[in-house]
Amino acid sequence: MARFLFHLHESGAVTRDEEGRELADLAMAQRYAETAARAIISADVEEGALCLGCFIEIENSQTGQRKVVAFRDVVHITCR
Amino acid sequence: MMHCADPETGLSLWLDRLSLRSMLGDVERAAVMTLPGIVEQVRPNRDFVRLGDYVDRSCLILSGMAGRFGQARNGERLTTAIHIAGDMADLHSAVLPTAASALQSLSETTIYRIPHRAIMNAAERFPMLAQALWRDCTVDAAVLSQWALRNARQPALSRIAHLIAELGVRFGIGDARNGKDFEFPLNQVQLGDATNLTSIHVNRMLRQLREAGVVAVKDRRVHIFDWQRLCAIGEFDPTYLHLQRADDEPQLQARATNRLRR
Repeated sequence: MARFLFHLHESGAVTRDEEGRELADLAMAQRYAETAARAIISADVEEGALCLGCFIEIENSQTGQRKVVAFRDVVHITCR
Repeated sequence: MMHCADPETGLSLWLDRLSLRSMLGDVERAAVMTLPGIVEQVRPNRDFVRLGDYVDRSCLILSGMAGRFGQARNGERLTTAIHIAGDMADLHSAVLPTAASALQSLSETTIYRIPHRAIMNAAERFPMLAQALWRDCTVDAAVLSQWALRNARQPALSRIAHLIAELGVRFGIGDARNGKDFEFPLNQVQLGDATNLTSIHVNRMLRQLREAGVVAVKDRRVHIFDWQRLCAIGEFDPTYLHLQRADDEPQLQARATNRLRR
């Protein structure tokens, strides 16, 4: 298990994660971030907003390894 | 948060809570204060009543904080109640001993496991106490109903505000609440489990509340800056907690007493 931090980037504003959560590996952390991104998108859409440029930056607190989950990559968008 | 790792203080806190909602005489009070049990220390994040367990004791929280939860097949949990010192977390198990919901310590927690037999004996001997225990379970159900409504119908910010306001009232931080603080051992994951949000979403909402000058959660404490706004954001009305003193409702109590004596 490793502790992963999830920093939320929204149009230049950053909500830094000081606590994080323990997960098995980076793949699990990525899945968690994708789920969280979709939940935040849903909540924002309910209030009439949508930020596809927002992203969650995953940080392994032990190794410093980082990965980005972009909001635009966690939803399938159609315009027809 | 009040710390009370000894049974006498814990029973006394529970008795105070029962007495807020029910008029109890000396004999009923003595019956509560002499309930036997076993003290148990539970490390954080441990299930001390598991789903499906057949239990023969109810758990009084002496210190710390515990969550009642349900669990989906994929292991995802939803906390459906938070219990603090002086709460009998599963009083209902005295009549329904197979655990349909489980209990987990959310911090270092001390519990007092009281035999169902002793609770039932006291209830059979003292009808007013039986009614008080019934009322305690009914309040738990009222809280559950409020949580279901909140998590299904309110936006994320409102859910967090509501939970903080509820715990503030239950910890008895008093009427002049701006500038007050209270112990808050929940981490973001646990807060998310209680509000049906991810920890990332919780962190985002806590930041909004902090930047709006409403509350701040720091070093395991909640700092209240603007109680009125917190309640407005959370649409918090404490009526469902039924913390009005029983002697404020004398007619209701008199009717209940007369019914029991018939």
